[in-house]
Amino acid sequence: MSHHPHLRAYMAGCVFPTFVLPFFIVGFVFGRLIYHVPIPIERFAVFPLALVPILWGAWNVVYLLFAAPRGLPLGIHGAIFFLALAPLAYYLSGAALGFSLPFDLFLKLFPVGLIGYYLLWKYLVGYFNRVLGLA
Amino acid sequence: MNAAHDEKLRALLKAAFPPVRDADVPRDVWPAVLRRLAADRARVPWFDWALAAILAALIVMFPEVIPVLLYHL
Repeated sequence: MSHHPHLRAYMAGCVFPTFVLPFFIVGFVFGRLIYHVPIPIERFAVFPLALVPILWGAWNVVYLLFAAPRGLPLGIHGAIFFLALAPLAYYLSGAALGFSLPFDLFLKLFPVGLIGYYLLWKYLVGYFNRVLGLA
Repeated sequence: MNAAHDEKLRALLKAAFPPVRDADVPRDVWPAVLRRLAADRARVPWFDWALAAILAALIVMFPEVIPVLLYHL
């Protein structure tokens, strides 16, 4: 298991968002096609569909390259990721994709996302890293 | 393939693979396996339980953040 550690780190990082994605899509397709919720899913889905799994994988590679050798805990690394990802999602949804998240909702999300990302990275991504022989 | 050929092949194989000596493990390794399994089990510190409780409370207080949180996963 000593070969291609970066590829394995990328795969370990991608697992969780890739697993969540189909449920997310099914939920929104049901909402849009059956319950006719007026959500522009085509624009809405680009961020979680295309970017989030790639960024999770890339962030885990960054952990392997820079954070782990310096002893930074994986949970803290994940929380830092949310600090970068949330403004990006807010900007992309507003400026690039043509719909806006309410700012008060964004503020409420911040502590939830920080804690959630800390726990998800510490336990889930940490588990996948151990399974793939990275920790 | 005849009996003589098989016998020759058997002799060659025996010559190529010498008999294994001291194949037994010198001590009982099962306790070490159990210790390793126990060490691998995730220990959750109290701080993380507290964070999980705060997270659950925040989600109950602001359920509208659930889809937005999913948007970031």
